[in-house]
Amino acid sequence: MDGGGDELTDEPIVSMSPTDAKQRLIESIAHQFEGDVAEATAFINTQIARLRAELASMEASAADGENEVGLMERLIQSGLFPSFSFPLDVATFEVAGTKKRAGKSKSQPYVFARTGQDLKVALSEFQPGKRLTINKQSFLVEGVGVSFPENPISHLESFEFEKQRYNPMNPSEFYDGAKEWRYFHRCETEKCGYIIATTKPNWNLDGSESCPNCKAIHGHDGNLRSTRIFTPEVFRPRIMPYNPETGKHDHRSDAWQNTNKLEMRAEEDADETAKPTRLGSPTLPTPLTQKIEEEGFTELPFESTWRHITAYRFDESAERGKQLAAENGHSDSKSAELLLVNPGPHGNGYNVCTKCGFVNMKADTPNAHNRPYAIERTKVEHFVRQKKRKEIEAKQKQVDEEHEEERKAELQLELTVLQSNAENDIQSEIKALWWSDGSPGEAMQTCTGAFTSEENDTNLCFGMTFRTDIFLLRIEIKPPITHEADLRPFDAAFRAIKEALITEATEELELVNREISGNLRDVVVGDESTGQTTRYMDLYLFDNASGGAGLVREITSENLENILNRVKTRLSGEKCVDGPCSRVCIGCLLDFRNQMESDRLDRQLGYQILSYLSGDSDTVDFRIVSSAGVDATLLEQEANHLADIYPHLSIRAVDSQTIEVDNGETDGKRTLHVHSSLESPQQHPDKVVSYKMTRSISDFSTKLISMPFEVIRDAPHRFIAACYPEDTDDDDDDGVPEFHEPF
Amino acid sequence: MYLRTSDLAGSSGCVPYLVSKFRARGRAWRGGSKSFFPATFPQELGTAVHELIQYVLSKPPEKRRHIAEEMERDLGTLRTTLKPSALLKEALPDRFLESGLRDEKIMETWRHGERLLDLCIHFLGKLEAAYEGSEDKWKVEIEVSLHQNTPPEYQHAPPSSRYIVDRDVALHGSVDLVFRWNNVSVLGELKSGTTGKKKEKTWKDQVAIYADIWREKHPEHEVHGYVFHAAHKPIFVSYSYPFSDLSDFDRRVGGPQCNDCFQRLTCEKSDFKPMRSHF
Repeated sequence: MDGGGDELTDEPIVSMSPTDAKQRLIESIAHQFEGDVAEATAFINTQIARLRAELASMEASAADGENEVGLMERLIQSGLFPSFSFPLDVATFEVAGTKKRAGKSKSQPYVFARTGQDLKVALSEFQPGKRLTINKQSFLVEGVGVSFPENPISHLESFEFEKQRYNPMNPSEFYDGAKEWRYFHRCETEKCGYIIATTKPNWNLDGSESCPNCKAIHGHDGNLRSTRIFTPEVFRPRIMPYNPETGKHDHRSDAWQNTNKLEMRAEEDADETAKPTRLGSPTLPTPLTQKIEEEGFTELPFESTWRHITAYRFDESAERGKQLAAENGHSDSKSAELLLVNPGPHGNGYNVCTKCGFVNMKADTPNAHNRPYAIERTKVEHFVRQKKRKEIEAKQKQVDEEHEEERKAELQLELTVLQSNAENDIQSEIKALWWSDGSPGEAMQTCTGAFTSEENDTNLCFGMTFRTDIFLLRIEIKPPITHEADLRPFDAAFRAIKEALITEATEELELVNREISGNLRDVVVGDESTGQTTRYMDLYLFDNASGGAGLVREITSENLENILNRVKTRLSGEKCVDGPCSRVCIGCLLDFRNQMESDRLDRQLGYQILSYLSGDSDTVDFRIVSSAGVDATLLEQEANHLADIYPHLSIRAVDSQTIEVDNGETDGKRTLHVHSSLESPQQHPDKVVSYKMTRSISDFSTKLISMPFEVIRDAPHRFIAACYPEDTDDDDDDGVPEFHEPF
Repeated sequence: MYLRTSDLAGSSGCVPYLVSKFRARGRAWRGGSKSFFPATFPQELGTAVHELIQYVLSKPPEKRRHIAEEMERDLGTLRTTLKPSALLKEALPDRFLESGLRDEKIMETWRHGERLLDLCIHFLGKLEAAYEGSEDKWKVEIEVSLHQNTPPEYQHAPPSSRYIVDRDVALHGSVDLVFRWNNVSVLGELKSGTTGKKKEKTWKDQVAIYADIWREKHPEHEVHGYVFHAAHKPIFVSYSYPFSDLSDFDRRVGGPQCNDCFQRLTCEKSDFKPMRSHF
């Protein structure tokens, strides 16, 4: 064994058998399993089995240049090799054009701007439609691509974006070229949004699959949709001819491109109306199975007074079970993968040029368009030469494999002709690409590639998958928590809890800020045998480092309750700047990481949920806004405030949950039961009618109007509209009224 | 060739959309909520609320109020105990109960069912007051077909037709509720779920079409049309449906139907606003 050249130590190098090496490895990690050698052995065996399976799958997959990845990268992606801070999954924003340098007569390739980002961030920060300012110049992102394209004129031609994953003439027949493609499968039924836990291209090809969520809840198949995922390596602005003498860009679709005389530059983006889309955080696929344990998670037991909360951690051994099942062809082994997708401005994918990667963000599809890059002459020449070289190699292979003498001689002759004409052919082809028959060739014209489209089922979404460590907190949603999970207050409450959980877990585990992230998902699990369903809200934390760095694994049975208590304290308002805040502040929740969702957080609502879950309160109570507990004067204060706004009404709080309003007219008295937006109607008293339905009430004396406190506080006009609904049935009918109401 | 009245009303008068809803004969729509397979939660809820109201109102006049009170009480009990009574089990569709009684279903069934029931019973009281001598004599028929002879006392087959675009098209449909006393027919359409100006217009159009056909089939009847929704007082439909507007093939009108239209991405009048998924 070579010890490494000059740096040989005095220590003798001992040759070690694989068995001994394994034993030594087990001993060295046994302390992490509290000295349990059997458990450490099982862990090592699991890892070896995974490594073997991974290597076997690498051998089995065809290594075509485009999809080829290095061994180390592959092992890091699969979580078998630690990534630490290796720059994995990086995307760049690049403005690659041409520029005339001083003293030069011809434009030369020039990179005007280039910056890199973690792909997870880039999918949001560099997304098409976004404006970026680099070196005091603003660029509008309008293209995607790859770092090392095969074809320098049509960078994305080899991806076959124009093709569907099936034969268009026979949609149930899979297109062989789509084997390596990945798809974003989800349900588009309103209020569902279920994400299928696979990215396989042949999934649901025949439309026989159904949405497990819709199946469990409504007994129907849902509205499944599959969109191809493309992982961009480069994001770019549109590049167009630029005259440095006049300082103007040439926008004409028939303007010559990539000429020596003019530069190719991105236009300064002065449009203040660019509308970037909001990108979601990494989304964990919703379980295909009904038991979370089958996803690779095991329960993390903890003793506490908290109710309806279960903690889970991704478990290696459970994954091994999946791995073995996968080897036997039973299941998909990607159980711990997180899928991050930018599904485009309308959620149905992007319209991308199948040749150059230009992304059309407008309603009309352009015929000819500028490419998001300039074409380099040297690369075109290299490309043509490479193509010819491959052609010659293929012919040479034919010659070598032919055994029949006569045919071999024919092939040899063809090869000789090919070789002797090669240089002439190369020069002709290069020339034709730039100029042919007195008109500009392909490289000097704007791109005329077709766009991916929803109509053709070729739309693309941009996304990635990555493996990492995950910790999951599952909260059962049942009365007294409201069933209206689609309400903004519901989302705001759980987002606030999620953000507080990230902050407190970071502090409790003494991690560096931004090392972990989190998200939430709504899950409905159905039991087909009983027809019953249970609704959960999953909050999950994960390591930002691809492959996982073991950070969220530090959340254990011992420290979990403390973390939860800290989360409650944070949401109680004790950390707020200048006393408990009314919604959110920099003291409690606001942080750079949640700037995209700062308008979707509500500390008070989050605290009300936690007060119930921790056992401090029997219901979700709007009067609990801080650690001081129930504020019995809250409604009185609000009633006084309303009385100031509407002095013609008599408004008073009868008790801490009831308001009485009187306009002084006959039958003008109204009584309102005030509750939290998050409280289930199950908790309301008898004879209540929702504030949304008061227009249908004829006799208010027997009814109690139920109204969320947050609506009264934030939208007093709705309070008045609910108490005294106006007959808004104005005559908007097209025809002249012909009939009269009989009574 | 035939057209469902709900499709016609739901078209907002948009002819290209309407033409896409023409159906071939042979696969006649069976009509009635019993045959309707709910595809989404609002539809499932709508079906359940329909069945509840129809169950109570179709009872003999002398028993109706008593059963309505019992039903209201049972709905309140369902809300707090999450368990359906025997009466509710009888009234609600089997599929509704079998597909899982989760909180969302229970709360919304209570919320809409109780209010709508209260509304309909109150409406019945107003009818009785308006027509002297009709107290406890109003019969309520449910799911009355406009194109078949169900119930047989109405000879509604063959269906009525209207000239749409370039042809006579038969109109199929069923009226949710028909309040009958002597020669007075009050047609009622039950609606649930979200409401809005454009939706209300399509609901009223639907009842206007029903009333139009009913007047043609029963010229001797005094016919009125109403829409019932938990968030509104009964909405009186005061106009005739403008069938003459449907002769222009290029007549495009934006409305709630745009979400369901295959031209929603290209039509300049489209009201379709793509919604991003929650992720």
